[in-house]
Amino acid sequence: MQFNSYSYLLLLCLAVMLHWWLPVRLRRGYVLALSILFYASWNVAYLALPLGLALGAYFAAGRMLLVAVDERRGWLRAGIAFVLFTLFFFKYQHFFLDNLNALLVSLGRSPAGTGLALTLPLGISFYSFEAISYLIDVRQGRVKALNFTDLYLFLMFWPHLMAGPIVRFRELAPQLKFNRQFDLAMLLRGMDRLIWGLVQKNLLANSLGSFVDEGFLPGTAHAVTMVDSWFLALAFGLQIYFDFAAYSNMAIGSAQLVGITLPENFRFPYHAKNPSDFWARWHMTLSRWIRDYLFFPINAKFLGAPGPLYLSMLGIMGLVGLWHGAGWGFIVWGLMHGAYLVLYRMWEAVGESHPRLAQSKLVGAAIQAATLAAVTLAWIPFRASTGGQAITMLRMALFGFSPRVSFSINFYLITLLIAAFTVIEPYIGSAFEMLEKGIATRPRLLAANLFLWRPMLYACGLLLFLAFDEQDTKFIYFQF
Amino acid sequence: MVEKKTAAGAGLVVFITLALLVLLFWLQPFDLINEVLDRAFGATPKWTDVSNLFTDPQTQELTHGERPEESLDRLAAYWSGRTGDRVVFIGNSQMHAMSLAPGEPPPAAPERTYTDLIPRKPENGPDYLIYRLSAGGMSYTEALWYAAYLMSRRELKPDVIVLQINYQAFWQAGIRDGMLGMLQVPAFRQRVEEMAHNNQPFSDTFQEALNHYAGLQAASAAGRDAATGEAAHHPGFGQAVEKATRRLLSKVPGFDQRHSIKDSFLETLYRGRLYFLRLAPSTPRSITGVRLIRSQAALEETARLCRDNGVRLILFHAPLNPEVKLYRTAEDRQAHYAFVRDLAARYNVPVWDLENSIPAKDWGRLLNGPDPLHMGRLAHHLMAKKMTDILAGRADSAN
Repeated sequence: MQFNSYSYLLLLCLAVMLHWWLPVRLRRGYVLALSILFYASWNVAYLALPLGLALGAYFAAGRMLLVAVDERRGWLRAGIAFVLFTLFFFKYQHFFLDNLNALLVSLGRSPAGTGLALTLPLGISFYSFEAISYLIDVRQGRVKALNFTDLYLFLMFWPHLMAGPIVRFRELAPQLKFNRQFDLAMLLRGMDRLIWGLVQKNLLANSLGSFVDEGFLPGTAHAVTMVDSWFLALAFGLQIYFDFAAYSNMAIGSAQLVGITLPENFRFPYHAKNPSDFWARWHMTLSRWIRDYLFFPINAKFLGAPGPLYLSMLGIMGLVGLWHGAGWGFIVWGLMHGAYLVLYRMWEAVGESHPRLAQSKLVGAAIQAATLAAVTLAWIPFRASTGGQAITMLRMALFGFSPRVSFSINFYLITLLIAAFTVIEPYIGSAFEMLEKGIATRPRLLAANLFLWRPMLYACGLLLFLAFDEQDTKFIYFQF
Repeated sequence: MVEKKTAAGAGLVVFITLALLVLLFWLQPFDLINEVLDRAFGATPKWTDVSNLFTDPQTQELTHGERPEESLDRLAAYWSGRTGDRVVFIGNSQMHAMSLAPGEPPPAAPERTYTDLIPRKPENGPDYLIYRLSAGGMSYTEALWYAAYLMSRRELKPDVIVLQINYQAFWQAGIRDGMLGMLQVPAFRQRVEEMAHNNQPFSDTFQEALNHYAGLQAASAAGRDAATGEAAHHPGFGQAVEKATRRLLSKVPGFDQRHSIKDSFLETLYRGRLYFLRLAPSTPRSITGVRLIRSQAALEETARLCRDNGVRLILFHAPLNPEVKLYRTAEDRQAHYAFVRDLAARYNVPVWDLENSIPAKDWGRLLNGPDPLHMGRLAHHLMAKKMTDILAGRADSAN
């Protein structure tokens, strides 16, 4: 059941009403049942996997809690290994075997096998990382009590189950008591997010989808011009941003409707001032996970040793790419971002000895423009169907000097239109916030806001959602 | 428990939202915006819009590519038992749409050609069985799709295919969803699969069409709306719930109008393009890159397919509005003509040149300028006369 499907939206209305009608003591069980039903609506067989992961994590956590914090490392490793093995088995098995077979064949040996034909369970990358974060929090003593329902509900809570935001146990578990008072303001904020997500998905992301699909057909990659390559990369960058931001908004909005606050996942990433800032704005909960559980521990080991640190950054970002999908294109995308981060870190080191240069507005603007270009370029291997296509398109983007274009004028115009919207998006957001604050200080306007202004915006958003509902409704990040 | 007053407030917000949504559906806001824009920018009157002409189902595919298999089945039944030269015209909307003054009757060129040819039939000569197979914005991959389909069904195999060559059609791409149902014919499907694996520039497009069709079939089998076929791989009960919800919603009055709102919205964007950016369909262009290569390869494959199946292919350069300078440079026109000439020479295909056959006054008008594609009634008659003369062997327009 997609967030932007009619069935989800109608059932959500009913579910939210029932949630607030129920006594607090029944709400946990009710939300858990809803979450299980939501996941089963995709595939009943999938249910076994998060349950198995929860049981494994629960067992390892239980063992850790029996001993002192310093002695928990063994069970932490065992728990993480269990989660990673499950993830590897379902997500990376074929990628590993395909590459191993290619290597063996190139060495004149016979292939190792083809592996099991398994469907990738939706959301596995997300709830696996959440299970790992739970184990680390237990290891570090941040989680002190063991409760399977807490853990299972933390993993299964339907708004973040399929594609994040990637939540920490300690920030979600206290809220899962569902003892919050009904708050109309929070409900309205939830509706704001939900409806804006619907518009982002159906109107903005899907409008670019068909153009991007055609442009990335591999057979004619050699004929894609420089302008085409940049526009295709930009269009895909916008498509995936609005697609994923839409999902995140709908997830955050759905959670708010039942009184739960999920962390933000996007903060206008294409306004990033540098590569590091980009990752502070793009898929923020994944960045936070990587920073806290990978980067900081590794960084601590390499203090004062830039070489190993840079290598570790490249390696971590390669893993981030691999997390997105079992393919070399994703790894290359991650490595490109790793390289950008390393280059920026080097620049920061230069800036420390040349503060005037580092503070120059012109240099800042150049770095911002270069970041946008570099991020855009990296979408090519991420989206390309084959390595050959990615190389060809990257070569054309960088060296195939030609003003010529291949596609319908509408493709370029719609891409520019949506890019222009992306440029002004934060200012629109700020304008709405200012309006909200202004209304909050004028009680006479509260009723107008509640019963006129907001319903008008909602109706316009729903009109656009309904008008564009016929398009492909899958979310790109579901596959990760 | 929720405080009753606050809950009532939330309910009221939802109620007002839904009421405003109904109001917006009724108001059709984008239609209003479009009217205002047209008035502000002095658009041509409504009656100058092109009309789609649904006339004789025995000689015309009436769905314009949206479900041609029904029309083609009817054609097979009509042709069976009739002898004569089977001539199929394949082209874009220029074949079936025209600008008509109020009260002006059709027909379009191919149908008129048929009517004109009958009296010219030599005594005891073969009859003519003419059929128009056209679709608005047709791409050459779609023309190939059509040709392959005709040759995959013995009862539909033509003697002659007359294929329209429009410069702007080389910028079209893909196979529209409405044509995917043709894949139900196993011989055609096999042919498409072969072409999808041929490593030709259009092969990806055919593979995409096959994939999309498979997705739609799977979705249909799972009881899901065709438009949301992608989720068909998930065998949970969500699809059935969604289908039931959609069925329920379709009973709500006005719900089915939602896609017309999308059309109006897209027309608003189109008007923005026309009025503010001055980018019209008649704006000169250079067609290059991916779509050109794909279209040219598809056209070449059509010629090869016709040759290999003993079908006579005739190409014709479609009429071009003299008021429209469609080619951005003289080289664009030369390259276009050179490609067609070279292809024709390699496959021994005659090419009729009708590019300058229709005077400016007989062309349609678009919102803010000359229509580069659609003609008036008189122009269709002129075009039909030229075609009749050539088909009846009385003219030497072929290059």
